[in-house]
Amino acid sequence: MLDKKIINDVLLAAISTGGDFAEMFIEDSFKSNISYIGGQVESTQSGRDFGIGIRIFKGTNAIYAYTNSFKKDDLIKTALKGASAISGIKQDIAFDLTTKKVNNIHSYAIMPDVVNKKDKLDIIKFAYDTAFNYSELISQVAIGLTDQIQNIAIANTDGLYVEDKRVYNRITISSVASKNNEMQTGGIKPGTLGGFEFIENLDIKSLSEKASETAIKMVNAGYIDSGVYPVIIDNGFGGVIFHEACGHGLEATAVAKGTSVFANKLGKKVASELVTAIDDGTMKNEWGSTNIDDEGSKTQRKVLIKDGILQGYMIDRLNGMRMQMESNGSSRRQSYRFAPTSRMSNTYIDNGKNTLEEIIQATDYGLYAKQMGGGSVNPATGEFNFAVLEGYIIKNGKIDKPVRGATLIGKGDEVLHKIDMVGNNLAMGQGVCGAKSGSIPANVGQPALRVASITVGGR
Amino acid sequence: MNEYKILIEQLFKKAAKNSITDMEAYFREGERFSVNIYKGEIEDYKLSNSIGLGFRGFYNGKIGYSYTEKVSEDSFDMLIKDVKENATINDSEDYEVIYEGSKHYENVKTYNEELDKVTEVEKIQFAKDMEKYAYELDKRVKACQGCLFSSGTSNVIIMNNKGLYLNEKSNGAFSYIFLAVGDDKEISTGFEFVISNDFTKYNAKNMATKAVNDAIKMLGAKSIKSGNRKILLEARISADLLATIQGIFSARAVQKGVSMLKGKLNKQVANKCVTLVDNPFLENGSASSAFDGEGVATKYKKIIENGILKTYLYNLKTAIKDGVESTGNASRDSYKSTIGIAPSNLYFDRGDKTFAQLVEEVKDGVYITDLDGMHSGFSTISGDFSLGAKGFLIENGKLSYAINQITVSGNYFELLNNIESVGNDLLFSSSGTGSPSLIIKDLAIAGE
Repeated sequence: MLDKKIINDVLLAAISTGGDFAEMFIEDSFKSNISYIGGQVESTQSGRDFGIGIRIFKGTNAIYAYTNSFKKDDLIKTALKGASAISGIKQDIAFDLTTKKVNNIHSYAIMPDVVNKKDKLDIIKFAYDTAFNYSELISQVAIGLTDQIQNIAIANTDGLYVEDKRVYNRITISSVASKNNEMQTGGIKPGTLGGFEFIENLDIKSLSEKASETAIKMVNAGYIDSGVYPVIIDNGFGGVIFHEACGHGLEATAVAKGTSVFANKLGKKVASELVTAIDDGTMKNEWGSTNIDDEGSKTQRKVLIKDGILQGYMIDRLNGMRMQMESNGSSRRQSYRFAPTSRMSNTYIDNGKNTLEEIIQATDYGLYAKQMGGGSVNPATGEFNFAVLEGYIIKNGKIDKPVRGATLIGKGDEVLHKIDMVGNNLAMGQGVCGAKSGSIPANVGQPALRVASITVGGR
Repeated sequence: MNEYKILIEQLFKKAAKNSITDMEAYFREGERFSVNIYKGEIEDYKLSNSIGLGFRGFYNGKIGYSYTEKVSEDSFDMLIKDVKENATINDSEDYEVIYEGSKHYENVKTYNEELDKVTEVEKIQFAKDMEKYAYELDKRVKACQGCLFSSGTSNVIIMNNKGLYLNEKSNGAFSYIFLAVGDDKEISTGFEFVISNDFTKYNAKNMATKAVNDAIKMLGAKSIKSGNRKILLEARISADLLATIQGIFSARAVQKGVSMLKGKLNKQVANKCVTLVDNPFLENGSASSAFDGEGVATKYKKIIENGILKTYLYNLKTAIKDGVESTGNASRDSYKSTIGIAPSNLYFDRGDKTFAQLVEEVKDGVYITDLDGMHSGFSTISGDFSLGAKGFLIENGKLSYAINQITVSGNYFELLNNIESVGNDLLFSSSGTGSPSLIIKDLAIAGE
């Protein structure tokens, strides 16, 4: 992507003032998206993101500089400008850039950029028509189809040079139902690290119907009374509870400064013994996977919590130095515009032994959160909140009427201890996680599980 | 800049040969600096210079978009191919236009040369001071998770083949401190920020003091019983809510039937005491500009006046569809964006009551100082929200103990009608929207 001789010279310039490590991240990405609303193309856009990020360490202090220029002089200038923030003498660091071959474990049968846009539009129109015609209550449908081919190269003063290609495809289907001057939404957003064949193989009909069905159920729903209840969170995107409430606190970014509630808790009980949680960046063609992380380390499968005992964190190189622990391939970034840091990939709670039916039958009164929305967390306090997109009251062990507008709040470390039933229907959901190093694709996942008591905001 | 003007002219020439008729380039060049301090040392130091070129044009009567960050002649073929391909599948019946220009553009000050004279050393020192003050103020300050100063300068060119050439240089800066206080038993956090392109508006001690005090006040916070309560909404929190839902004022949302304000023009949508302003000429406003994303001259307007909805926000496409003039609200976040609609500096006009008067007026209720989860717990279509909250109890017209682990729920359209009083303390949030403190008749609280 860039001549190795130029990379070599830029890295040398970056450590010319005493830095003890430098790294370059070169990105050449091609993105395309089609947005379709109300039976018409709302916008179609495609383009090329190109840029180079240079990172320099001096101890655990980090400098990051980026530019869109690919010219040698500009790159050297950028590296020197960054290096000028360090005032020291050049150390004796010698390296020889050696290409390390990436073992690609993901299949990309059809590249999205060779698919005719008219064929893409046909899929979109089919989704739109299916969702819109599902019921007279559906007043609007929006479809989005996005793809990205991200070509990256990473080089550093350890002598590493590695290249990789990541291909992403995603479709979003959002339905709006209207009734009595009120509107409610339903949506579904499957995505992959993989080729366009993922989109072609999706059952667009049932996905579109499901989006509309949620909107209709919710526009016909009442509100739940605010209070503290047992809550059953169903599988798939329900895993957002673990992602927000605990996952962020297990990222080295939060742990290294000692501000996470999980800092200094390795080997200690942090969750109910029913909970085993894993972050796995190596799952084939999953949304949050990559062959290598954004520092060039191979991604790994990491057991975070085993039977309630804390086993490990997600660690990047810089925070690893702060914590005196090795990186475990968890460093990610949105693009060359961001310095990478420890992030989640595909993070899920593993299967337990109960069926969803058993969990519901065992609950006298509570909330069944069939579909979760997003949420957020304060990593220092562990306080989280997240929205229930599709919810139902559970009464006497049976699903009762639908409810809307519920929000769950609590503290991550507390809620983990309150998980008292774990199901056996593990599934993944696709999300975009926003944090310090930008917005990245991340899978959340879990089987259905029950939290014994949680504060539910209703009306 | 001239070098890029010439490059764009070359692109236009090549595109014209490739059957692209009306066309426009949106070019942005920028420089940014930011520094984050941790325990007295530079933890993050970030520099960038970036350029990007957005290109849109008509092919066979339909518009297509493309962009590149590799701004050189060897990207021309890709830009032209993408525009043609995207235009080919564009089946929209709405008419987008390449604009020939407005008669008059207001003189808006978007660049402050004094800011560019502030050295990196001074900016780093500012962030270091802020952190130092925070630790000195109270022993319970455990860590500053963020202690940042950032500044940047950018240059935007909008240029088309209908004779329009607009150029705007702007600069800005922001700073924040985010810290945790507490002991082994309990932790709470505080946050304070300033956004301004006037360096004299940054006071390290004041910012540190505000963040520390806010965090300390929350120690010992507890939940309260569930129920409906009268609410005093802190100014910046109200501004954040407004920022989240501002899309309802977009004519696009109205035309697409996804705004509850459809059919509400010239009708009462808020209490009489509410006036909502969109002011692109606001001094030191983060969204101040003489022209919008399509090159149309911007305008000052009241969207809601004394509770009555007076206008939606328009770009050219939606204005043509409704047979009105553009309100100068075409948005273009960057060269990567297609044309959308967004307010400029959007804010609720101030009232005349002091904060103390508002607290007294609430008498018994809850003062909300923090809301979490706006991107997930707030449906911008239905207006329903259910959000994690923090604040203080108000008893007998006085602020009482701190509250956390509660949620606040309601509907924004109802909230607008239930605004009983407006404070005189207009503040802008980090999202760029503004509001004074507001008294809301009631909202549902979930606690114990």
